[in-house]
Order: sequence, then structure tokens, then C-alpha cells
Amino acid sequence: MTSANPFIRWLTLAALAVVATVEVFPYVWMMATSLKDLASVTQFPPTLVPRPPQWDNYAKAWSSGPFLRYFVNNAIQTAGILVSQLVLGCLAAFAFSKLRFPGRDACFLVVIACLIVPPQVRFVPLYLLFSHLGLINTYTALILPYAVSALGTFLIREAFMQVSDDIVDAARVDGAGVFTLIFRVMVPMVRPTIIAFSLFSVVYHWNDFFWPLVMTTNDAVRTLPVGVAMLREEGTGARWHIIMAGSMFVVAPVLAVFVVAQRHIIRAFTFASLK
Amino acid sequence: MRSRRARREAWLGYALLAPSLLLFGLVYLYPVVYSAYISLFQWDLITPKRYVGLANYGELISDEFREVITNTAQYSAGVVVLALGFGLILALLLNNRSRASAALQAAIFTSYIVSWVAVSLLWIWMLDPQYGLVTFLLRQVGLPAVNWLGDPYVALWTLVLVTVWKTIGYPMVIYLAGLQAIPTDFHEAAALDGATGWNHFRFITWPLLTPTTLFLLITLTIASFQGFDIVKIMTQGGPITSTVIYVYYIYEQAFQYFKLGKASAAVVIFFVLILLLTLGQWVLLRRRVQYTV
Amino acid sequence: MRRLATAMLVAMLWAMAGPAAAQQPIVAQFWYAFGGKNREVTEAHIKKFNESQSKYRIEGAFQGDYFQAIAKIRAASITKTAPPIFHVVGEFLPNLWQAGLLENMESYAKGPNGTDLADFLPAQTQNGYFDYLGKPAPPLFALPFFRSTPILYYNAEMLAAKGVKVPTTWDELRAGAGKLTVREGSDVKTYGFEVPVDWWFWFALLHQAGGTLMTPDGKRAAFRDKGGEALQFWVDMVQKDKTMKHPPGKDYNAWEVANTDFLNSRVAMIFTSTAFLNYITENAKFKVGTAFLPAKAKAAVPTGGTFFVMLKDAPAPQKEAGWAFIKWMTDPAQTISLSKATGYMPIRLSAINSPEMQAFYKENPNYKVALDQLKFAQKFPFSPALFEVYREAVQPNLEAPVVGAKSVGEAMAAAEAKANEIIGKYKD
Repeated sequence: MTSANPFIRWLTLAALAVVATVEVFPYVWMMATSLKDLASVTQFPPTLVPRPPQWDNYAKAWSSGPFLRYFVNNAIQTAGILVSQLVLGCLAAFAFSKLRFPGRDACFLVVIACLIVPPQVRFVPLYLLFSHLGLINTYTALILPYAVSALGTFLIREAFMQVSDDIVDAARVDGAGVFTLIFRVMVPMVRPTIIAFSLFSVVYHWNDFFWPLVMTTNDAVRTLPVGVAMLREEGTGARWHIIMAGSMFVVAPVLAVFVVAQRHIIRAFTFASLK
Repeated sequence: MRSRRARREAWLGYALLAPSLLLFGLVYLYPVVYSAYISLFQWDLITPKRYVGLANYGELISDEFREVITNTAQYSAGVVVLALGFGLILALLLNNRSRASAALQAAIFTSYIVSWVAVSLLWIWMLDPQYGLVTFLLRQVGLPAVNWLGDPYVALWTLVLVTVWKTIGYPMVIYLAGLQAIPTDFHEAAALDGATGWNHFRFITWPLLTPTTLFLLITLTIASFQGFDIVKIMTQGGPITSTVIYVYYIYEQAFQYFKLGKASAAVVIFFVLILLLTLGQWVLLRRRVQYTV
Repeated sequence: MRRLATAMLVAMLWAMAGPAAAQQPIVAQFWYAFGGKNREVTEAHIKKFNESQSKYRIEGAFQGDYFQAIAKIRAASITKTAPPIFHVVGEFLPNLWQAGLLENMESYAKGPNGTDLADFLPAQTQNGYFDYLGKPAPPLFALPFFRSTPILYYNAEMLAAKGVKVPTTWDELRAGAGKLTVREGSDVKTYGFEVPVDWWFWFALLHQAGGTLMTPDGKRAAFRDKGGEALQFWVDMVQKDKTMKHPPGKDYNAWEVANTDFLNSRVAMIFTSTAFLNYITENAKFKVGTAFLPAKAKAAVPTGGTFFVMLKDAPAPQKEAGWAFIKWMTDPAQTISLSKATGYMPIRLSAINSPEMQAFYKENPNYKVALDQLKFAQKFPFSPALFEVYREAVQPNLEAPVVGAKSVGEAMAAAEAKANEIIGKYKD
């Protein structure tokens, strides 16, 4: 949105700069704290640039537990969940948006209903169920509870609905099977949505602390956020510099994913607006 | 001929839905049904369940519960209105391909990406009424210090602001996608007709964004009703009970007081309430949604 | 020929596997609910235990914060997958014992790998922690792990600068806080005093005022008047004098704010656990003094921290391993190393009297304060209602008067009513 009035342009830019600073400041703070030493952490007035930077905070955080295993587990969990959510989500979204059959809207209502159920509510029954099935401390316990996403199904359905029926029919006429139709024709047309949803899913599940904590009782399949939580000492502020270093391990991959995804989003936006 | 095709389509529909529905049923609805069952008992997980019928529901109809509902409604309304509003404004301002916009979007998204624990400490420090950065800035412009997290009348709104600050990236990105989905033909036609600025927004952009807005309204409402992390980390429901919102209340009842029955009754009520609210939003507003102008 | 060779190979392998199989250590899990330094110290000791013998192997596992851990234990006990060893705060013990969750340790303690129960500091043991309300004492089911008392920490330099003596009574504390508070216009730059508005400290003040939590038979709540006096003391200092800071947050979050403020010289005196002595002394840029909690009608402190317990439903070999670990952890040598590394108190008389600890106390007198204060230790009633009274009746009603939202009278009346309701539930 551009305005001819330079004053308004300038004001808008200033406002945006403030917003950007406020939003980015905590991340910068996190980085700064991760390089401080014990004494500077709780000091006031706080310093922004630690001198000298304590790089071995990162070593301490990493060696406080099997962080490499946590990292790998985190990746497996997040990827497993994402793939499952996307595949099943696309299948269901296609059925909801391009097919007609009795009970379709009722089924969609079921999906909406699932949006409502928060994770804290699901813990006890699923823990007991998985425990009876011997699934505690397995990747299944981490992935299965999130293998389908109501939000993803909802979003992809909306996006599919905006794909013109002509395209679907044309592909059908060309002899495309259902899976080809969904994954080779429709999905590429809704790339911004897929990428946006993937971003949310990855951020949420990569950072998820509660579920991996309650579904595991030992280190076998534990994830990074649990590892970082173990650095906390209740009642003291002693470990914040190490906790921030640990948190940086958690944040860095997601930030990288975001930077990559952003380029794709922009490219996808451009493609979409040219249609 | 038609009925055969209809049957094949139905078959296909069910087949495509089956794995999703099965999983939804197992991992989302089974816990709710289980909660409905447990809500009829008193149970602390270690002694046998005791059947009490609807006593838990009776216990919930109390001042304490009413406060939880008011807190949650206030929190949700605040978050939804501010997130929708600012998200839209940001999306409109950043809807271009400039490097600056990309950088700003990235900046806004970093707060979304970072975990709550990492940022909560910073906010607790910044908001300290004795020596926080925010307090310092307020004093610079001659305003008095505010006890952001320690004043029972203010704390909930503080949480609203911090929530919006952290999650504004989400509505921004969704609105950006929505804006980009508007075919440029519409914009060009409107420009040719001489529509500018506000009128352009009011008659072209906004109507075509209504599907996005409805979607965001529903998902933000649901997400804000599910608010938990921020309370657990920043105020633990305090000061007193002014920031106990619904899911935190359920968590407290279940894991701090070991009243599984009462927590389960709260779960059932929550589910019904939100379902009605969501249905209400969907039914009432879907007619206002436009896919074309 | 080949057959003979194969047979010999098999026999050899069998022979190797035989004793090896017999040497498989019994594995048992120890679930704990703390992170940071305490976790490191504990894991180091677990490793030492495993290396010191080959019969048992203990695996420590972090389970989240205290409440998450208890929730998991409870859920796991339903599906019979609970670990044999855990640690619990004292207030939870009666409830867990009543529910039949905990293992009776008497036979282990008096058995071949037993431990000298008489060597344990009485105030820190199960019997020293609980008042059995005139009923017969239950058998041994808990051994002390990390144990503590609240103490007064003060910034020695600030007190010296203002000529304030270390307070020994409530009145002296209040007067001292007044002198130590530094104001800048309408803002407070330094507070005289800060304490988390928390059950543990309130319990101390309740008894210092001469009150008790329940009647001697445990049938009714008895804390209304004296508990109100305790609460009023805080309310007056926060609202009237404005010399006490009420740290925001609940449970350990408030404790952390108090500790941080003390380290930042934002407050002159605080009450907090002796468990933070190491942390505070290491990080303070000033001379840290420690003292008993001030008295009113009398001197009184609760003890705190956690106890080792074993879960009854675990398989016998795991319980055997669990006991071996618990016994070892509570042996004098270990209690010395655990105590020196953390600030928690040693739990064995022989450890305290050892030359090593005596020398340590001489060099670090602050560490002795909690120990000496034990002579004023107050018991908790052994009632299954205890933790509910703590979490649901008392704790939620402490904050409102301090913040000015309710009167002390109203809050204590509400707390008493709720407590009696809870106790009534457990009448058998």
C-alpha cells in the first residue's frame, strides 16, 4: 500500500520499524544472554553486549544431556508429524472440497470439533491408552497424537475450494488418477497455503515441550525442548545464560526453515498472483 | 448412470476421509468421551474412582468458575480483536516484494518462532515495576510505573498484549496469503474505474478477504480459548486468580489438585461451549463471506 | 573335526555368557523433578553409585516440574509402569501412604543391607517431620533426601551502613525493614524486606505467633487466629509501611524473583530456603549474612525439601535395587558430598560431627544456621488432608490480603471453612 504523501510514507515506515524492533528484540536479547557469564545474567541495568562472549555456554548446554539424540528425535518427530498431517490433510481436504457424498458436512463438523480440544485435555486418556499398549517412550507416542491436523485440513480445504472445478475436470478427462490429481495438480496450485501451514506445524511441534515430556519417561525419544527444560533450576536464576544457549539450539533450525520458506512463499505468491 | 457415479464418488470420499477420521476419533474425540465418562466420578488417579453423578458439574457452577469464564472471554476477545486488526494492517503494509518487507516479515516472525520460555523471562524483567525497561521508558515520558503482572486488574490485559505481540506473525501471514490470492484483475478493474485508497479497500480488498477473516476469526478464537503456555510461564494464574483462563483451570484441577473428575467436567463444558461458539460464528457469518465481487 | 570345533566354540561362548548373564545388573529407574544444578549433582551421584558396585544399575530420569512428575507417577501406577524410586515433598506423604502407594521400608532398613536409623537427624526423619495426632505411628516409608529450612538472608553491608542489627523478633524485622527501605520520590529504590507469599513461610509465622495448623486430633482446622496474625504482619508491611516487596508469580517463580532481587541489591533482607545458600553466596557481590527466622511468641521453622520413597507395586528386584540406592544416598559420605554441593542440610549425625563437616562449618558458618535452627523445627500433622489443605485452603487465600483485595479476616475465614470441608472428606 503506497501513499503519494511522503509524510504518511515516512510515518508508516517509522511505525513499521518500531514494530520490527519490538518483535525482534527478544530474539536479540536471547542471543546476548546466551553469551553472558553468570554474574551478568541477573544484573541490572542489563548490558546488551556481553564482554567477553562466553561461547562455552553452548558447550555446557549441549553436554548437559544427550542433545544430539534430542535433536535427531526432534527432527523425526516434527517431520513425521508434518508429513502425516499434509498427506492425510490433502486427501481429506480434497474429499471435502471437490466431492459430494452424504454425511460430508457432518464429517467436516467432526474435524472442526477436533480443533477445539487442547493438548492438556488429551494427556491422561492417551497416556493411559498408550501405556496399556506399551507405546510410551516410542516415536509413535510422539507422532500419532498429532498425525492429523484439523487446522491443516481446514486450511487446505479452503485453498482447494478456490481451485476452479474446470481444472479438476480437465485433469480427470486427461485420465489422472485421484492421487495424481491431488498431489500433482491441486497441491502445486495451493503452494502458499501448504507452505504457510507447514511453517505453523513445524514451529509448533519443534517447540513443543508438554507432549514429549508427558509421553516419555526416559531419554530414548525425548526432544530438545525437554532437554532445555532440564537446564532450569527452580527458584534460582543461575542458569539463564545456559538455558538461552540451549534455547538457541531449538530456535536456530526453525529460523533457518523460516528463511528458506519465506523465499518460497514470496515466489509462490508471485506465481499465484500472475494466474 | 448418475447414481452409479454418485456411489463411486461417495466411495472415494469415504476412502479418502477414512484414515483422517479414524485418527481424529482416536486421538481427539476419544479423550473427550473419556473425559465425559470421568466427569461422573471423583478420582485422584491413585485411589479407586468414586461415582458422584453430576456433582462435579454442580461444583463448577460457582463464583470461581464464573471468574474463569469471564477471564477467558476477556482474554479471547482482546487477543482476537487486536490480532485481527494488527495482522491485517501489517499484511496490507507489507504486501509487496520489496526486500524491506521481507526483512520486516522475518523480524515479526522471529517472535512467533521462539519458544515461550525463552521470551517470558525477558518480558517479566521488562515489565518489572521497580526496574523494568518498560517502566524506565514510561518514566522517561513522565508516565507512572504500572504493575503489569502484579496488579490483579491489569495482569490479564498484559497477557493479552504479550500474546498478540508473540503471535501476530500468524494472522499476518494468513492475510498475506489471502491478499495474494486476490486476482490482480479485480485490482486493475477497480483502478480503471477510478477507485482509490479507502474505497478500493472497502469495496474490493475487504470483501474478498472475508473468507480469510472468517477463517482467522474462528481459529484465533479457538486458539485464544486454548491459551495455556503464557499463563503457566508468566503468572501461573495470578495475581490471585485474575489470569486463570479455561485450559489453565483444567490443568490446575487435574495436575495440581488431582481432581480428575472436576477437571473432566470442565473439559466437557469447554467442548460444548466452544463448539456452540464456533458453530455460531460459522453459521451466522458464512453468508457474509464473499468469494467474488 | 569341524563339528568338534563348533561344539568347542559354542561351549566357550556358553561359558562366557553364563557368568556374564549372571552378572546382568538389576536396572531400576529413579524419577526426579528438578533440573539445573540439583540434577547435575544427583546424576553425578547416580553415576558414582553405579560404578561402585555391579549388582544394581540406577537410571535417573527427569519428569518435569514437581506437579507434572507426580501426575505421571500417578498415571503410571495405574498401568503398573511406575518406577520403584521417587522423591516427594513431605506434605504429600500422608495422602500417598493412605492410598497404599508406598512401600514399607522397615524390613529393608533393618535387613542385611540396612542402615543405622538412629544416626539420622531426628528433625529430618519421617517421625520428626510428622505429628501422628495421637494415632499409632505408621512404619518407615520415607527417608530424607534433600532437606532444608527457611532462613533469613541479609545484605551485611546494607545493614552495617544503616546501623541495623540483625532482627531476632518480628518487631525488629519490621523496624529494620523501615530503616533499610530507600525511596526516590514515590518509588521504592530498595525494599527492606521480601518474602514469597507462600505456604511454607506462612507456616513458619503461624507457629512463631504461637498457633498450629490443626487441632491435636487432626479433626478441625485451628489456624484462623494465629494464621491471621501471621498474614496481617505481611499485609501491614506491604500495604501500610510499604517496606516489603511482594514478589509476583506463584510457587517457585516468586522464590526466584526474591532471590534475584536480593542478589541485585534491590532488597536488604529476604526469607528463603537454605537450599539456595550455595547459589546466593556464589553470586552475591556483597557479604551475605544468614540468621534464624525472627520469633514472635516463640521461635519456629518448618522443614522442607523432599523424601525418598519407594513404590509398592514395583517388582521385588527393582525395589531391592531401589533400596540399595536410597541407603547409599543417605549414607554419611554421600550426605556430606550432596550437602556441600548444594546447601541442603546433611541428614546424618555422624556426617555432621565428622571432622570434614566441622571444618567446613568453621569456614562457612552460614551453612550451619539451618542446622542449628532445627531445634525450633515444627511438625506437620500426619493427615491425608494435609496437601489439600495446603494447596486448596491456605495457599490460594494468602495472596488476596497482601495485594489488598480482601481483608485478612475474610481470607482466613474462607481458608478455615475450606480446610474443614477438606478434612471432613477424609473422616473415616
